[in-house]
Amino acid sequence: MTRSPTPTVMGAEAVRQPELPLATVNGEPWLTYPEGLYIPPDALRLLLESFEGPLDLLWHLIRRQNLDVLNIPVAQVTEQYLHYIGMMQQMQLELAGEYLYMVAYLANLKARMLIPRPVDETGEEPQDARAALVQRLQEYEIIRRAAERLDALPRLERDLWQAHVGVPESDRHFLPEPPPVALEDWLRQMARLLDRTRWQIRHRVVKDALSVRECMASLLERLSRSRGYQRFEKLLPRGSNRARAVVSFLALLELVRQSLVNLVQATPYGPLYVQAPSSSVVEEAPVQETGHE
Amino acid sequence: MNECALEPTALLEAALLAAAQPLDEARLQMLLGGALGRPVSAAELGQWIGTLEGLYENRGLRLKRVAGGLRLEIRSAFVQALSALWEPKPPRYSRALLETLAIIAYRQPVTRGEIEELRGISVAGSTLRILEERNWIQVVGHREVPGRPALYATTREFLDYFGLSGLSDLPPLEKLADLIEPTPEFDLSTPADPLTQAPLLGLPDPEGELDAGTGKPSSG
Repeated sequence: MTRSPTPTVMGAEAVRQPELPLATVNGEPWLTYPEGLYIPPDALRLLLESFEGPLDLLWHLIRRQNLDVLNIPVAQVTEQYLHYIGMMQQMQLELAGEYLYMVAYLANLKARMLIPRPVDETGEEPQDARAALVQRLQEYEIIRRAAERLDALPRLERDLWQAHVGVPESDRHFLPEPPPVALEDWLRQMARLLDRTRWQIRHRVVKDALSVRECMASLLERLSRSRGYQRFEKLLPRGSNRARAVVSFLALLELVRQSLVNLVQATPYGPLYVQAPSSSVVEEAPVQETGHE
Repeated sequence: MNECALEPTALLEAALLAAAQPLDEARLQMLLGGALGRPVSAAELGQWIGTLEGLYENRGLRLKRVAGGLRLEIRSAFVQALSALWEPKPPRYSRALLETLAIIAYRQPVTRGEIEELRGISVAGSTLRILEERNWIQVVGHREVPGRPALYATTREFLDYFGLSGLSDLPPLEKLADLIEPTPEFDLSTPADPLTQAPLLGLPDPEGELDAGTGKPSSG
């Protein structure tokens, strides 16, 4: 069971000061650390229970043996690890699956290290697998130490006490901060704003340059071109809008009123025809432009 | 003149004493501005804070800045002596809980899976729950991968609790190089380390399930 070829520094130190027993087991003082894996059973249980998972256990084994982290003797560590797992099982500690997974991982690693590496192959696979384990161990160790430092930081309840004066009513709630505005509220406000703008459409009234008189002239001109008769609906210029239609209608009414045109309907409900005036009517019409013809 | 300079400082002190929580500058500006009936500039407030800090030079209190703002603390040198006043000892936290918290603090935002990967062992649900109940961590989002695992990050309360003014205030992580070369001190403690540590840890359950629970009201 003597697995560590390098004697630990601790052993030498302890021998130098024999008056300080390290521990007393069954009335017997222990002056040196026991070689190998012997640890008093009660302490062992404490020790085993205190591991925070397989990485922690592995790290412990490596530190215990004063091994080089970067060059872990896989076979040796695997055996020790298995030994610990065996002890934990004997102690009937409930083992998490991760511990057993690590056994398999180590066994796999050990097996790979034993078989000669194919030379031509690109992979330094066994080395890589070990490097990955080393890296995980190191990362874990960093976190483990970070946790220790975090624990050592002065903190409220233990090292820091905030001074305050008791305020009588205990049912008063301290408002931690002016309540933040939720995104939802912003959006709702925005929606309301947009909604309001819907009712704020500007109605721009533009005077269209339409004159009844101008329209009357063009109607008369068209009538004369179509040799007197035109269906009422056809008199409206193409693509005219509502305003133009109204103006045209007004112009027509005006023309009728001034007897410049006649409206003819042949049958009831039949089409309306607009008729240019006969020469006789023209005489009677004293209106401006036509007047001096 | 002198009185004018003193009055707001006293008000500031009273506000910090009454609040029982850190107050940040913006809040103090509003609070003092309201009490004084005039707007308070940041520079003015800074001056009063400086004055107050000076007043506590040789007193039992001191002004401390943490992430949440300013708070008055009992001078740390006296805390130990005064802790005899209180019966329940402050809570202790298991290694499982502290390691989980450390991973979240240094690697945030992280998923539970990433925490487990780093620790090499599954994280008990209760560990995360305790951290959430203490308001030290919170879910800040979800990683867009199958299962959408929650991403954890630390809170301002965490920083306040540990007396930090920001994440950059956390003790720096040790370098890999420090780990490779074992220090003499490191060697000395090796064989006895877990043995001497174990009782201090309050006999933690490996999963940290019971420990943080018992750690909270008393250390058993």
